Amino acid sequence: MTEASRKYDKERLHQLTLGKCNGALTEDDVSELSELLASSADARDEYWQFLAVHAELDWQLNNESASTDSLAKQIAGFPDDVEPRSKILGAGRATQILLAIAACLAVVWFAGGVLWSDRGKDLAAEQAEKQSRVAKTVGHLKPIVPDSAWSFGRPGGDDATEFQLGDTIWLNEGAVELQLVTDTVAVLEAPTIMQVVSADRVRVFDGGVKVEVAEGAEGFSVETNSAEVVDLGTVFSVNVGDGNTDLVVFDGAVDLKLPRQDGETEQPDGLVKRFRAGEAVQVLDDGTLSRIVNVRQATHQTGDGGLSAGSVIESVKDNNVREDFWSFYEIVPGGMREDAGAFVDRVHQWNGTKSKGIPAYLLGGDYVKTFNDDKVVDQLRIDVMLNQPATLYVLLDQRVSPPAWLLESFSDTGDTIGVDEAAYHPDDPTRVPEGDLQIGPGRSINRTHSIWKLVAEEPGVVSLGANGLLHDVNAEGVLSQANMYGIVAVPLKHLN
Amino acid sequence: MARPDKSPAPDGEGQSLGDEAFVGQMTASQRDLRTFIVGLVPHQVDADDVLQEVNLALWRKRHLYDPNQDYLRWAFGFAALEVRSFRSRAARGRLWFSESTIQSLADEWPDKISFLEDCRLVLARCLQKLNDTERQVVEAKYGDSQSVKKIANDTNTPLSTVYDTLSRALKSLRICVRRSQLQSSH
Repeated sequence: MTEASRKYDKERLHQLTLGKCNGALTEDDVSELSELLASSADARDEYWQFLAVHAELDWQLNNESASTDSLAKQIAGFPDDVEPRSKILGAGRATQILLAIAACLAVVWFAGGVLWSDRGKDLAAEQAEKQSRVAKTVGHLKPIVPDSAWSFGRPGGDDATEFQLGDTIWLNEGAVELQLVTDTVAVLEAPTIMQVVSADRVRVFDGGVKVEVAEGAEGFSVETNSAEVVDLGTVFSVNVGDGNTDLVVFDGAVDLKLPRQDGETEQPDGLVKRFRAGEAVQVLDDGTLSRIVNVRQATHQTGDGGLSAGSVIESVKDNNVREDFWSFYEIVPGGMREDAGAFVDRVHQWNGTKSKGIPAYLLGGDYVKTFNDDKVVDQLRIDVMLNQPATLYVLLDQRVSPPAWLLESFSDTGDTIGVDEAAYHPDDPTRVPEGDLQIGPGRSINRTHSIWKLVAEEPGVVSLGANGLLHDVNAEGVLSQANMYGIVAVPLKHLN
Repeated sequence: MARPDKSPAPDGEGQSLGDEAFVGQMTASQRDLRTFIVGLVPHQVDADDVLQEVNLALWRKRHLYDPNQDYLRWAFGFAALEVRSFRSRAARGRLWFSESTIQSLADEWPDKISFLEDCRLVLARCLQKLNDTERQVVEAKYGDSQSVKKIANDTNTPLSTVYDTLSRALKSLRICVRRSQLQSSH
């Protein structure tokens, strides 16, 4: 049975459609009508016919002249390129617009001179000035993967690189980077539909955008169907799919705004919740919030490691109930490299202990940013799902004893990797005191981790346990002198 | 500096339409645009707001309109986007059609334009075929913009009866238009 011929309750469709025409639909009716219309092309055909009659009655018996006057007033009040509503132009201009519309109704088209003003200012110059303002470029776009393809839905908009105010981009293939005039950078992955409302506001209809807001451009907003995200100086991503909005904060903080849930009348103020680096949340279509357990960065955004591995780590889960409910494991496909951020809740970085760098077999591997605060969780279990045969590495702080689960299943490679640490401030974990972090291997290395490996011949889950015990037990909780272990995975086929 | 109509657009993409001619296009398309928008939004009260935003979007982008392109199709693209945008900003307490429903309705709209055109041609004649009660109620609601409640009060008729009368009238008008279509095709 084709979608066109699918059976539906025609009588009920007529009732609801006529109810809509009469302005008598309840919210449940709207929902039911929406489902009926989505279910069948025949239903939509019936619907459009009733709507055509209804709209024509409205136009012919009432609306025609009113609409014409209304359009005239609208055009006379239109901006140049900013919020327009109440702009008042000189009477001469408004009169000209009305004359033009009247002429069109009489099926007479005005050419040039009739509308020229006899005011001092040249109307054409005003038009040219208005055009140049309207066509305001707010950013430039460049592809960041080969064969990227996009359209702005306007003449000459296919693969154009200049982004104008009000433009909507349909990104069909690949990934692109949009640099706004404020130096804010937005990265889009296909398929995505996004509109640039202004230099500091975008609207995502479908797909996702990752935003790095430039200093001084705080307040940048991303709107979706179910939420509004306001930047407070951050790197964050917003993904829209199936009516839900996924927000991930990689750096800094954002305010998430949600409309109120009482559903009575339109409420100007909605719920506002702040999310910080390492936190992620899914906003469902009905406004409820749901935790995102792990987040995988896009492959094109990750490092330039020596291996072109593809994604190995499918997901990461644990059994830890966290106070900071919104925190997530970050999976960085192919991202293991010098200066890679090691933890979700610290700014420490992985580096080679010496100038020769991180062992080559780790470079370009998938890695997981774990929670450094988990270093003292003694019943911890982390399940790493591998989607292909791989070598899994655990990077264990040498200040702790290898735990039993590690000794049973993993082997010590004898190699090491370093951690470049910044002083930890619990109130602001993302703070980097000046000079604490250096760039490159063998510089400012504060800790050494040993590298343990396990060869997983088949894809599947590998369960890891709690961190090792401190040689020198000093119960200081999350401030204890140890790091949580790191996790890296490399496809088995790439081993030498 | 004087600039005649139909001079090349600043980006050199070909001739654009002057403002006066564009206003003409906008005027001529209001009826179709409004019908399109009324069909996509569940509550009539939002349709005019959306139309206003569509008009603004069209005006802002008028320099990008290629006169060789079908204006209505170009304008419908904006309208569909504005409906989605409006929907995303609508109060949570007001339900809208789903995204997929809006998309399906918008995609199929161009196929419905012939019915709309026939409707325009024959509707006045079809109105005369309604019975007196139906015609009076239709004229009160659409011509005088009276609410159904006011019509019921003024005619001392139950609300449900007025709704039924309106529904019968719309059904009859639709059948009348379809018959005209069938007759004209033979």
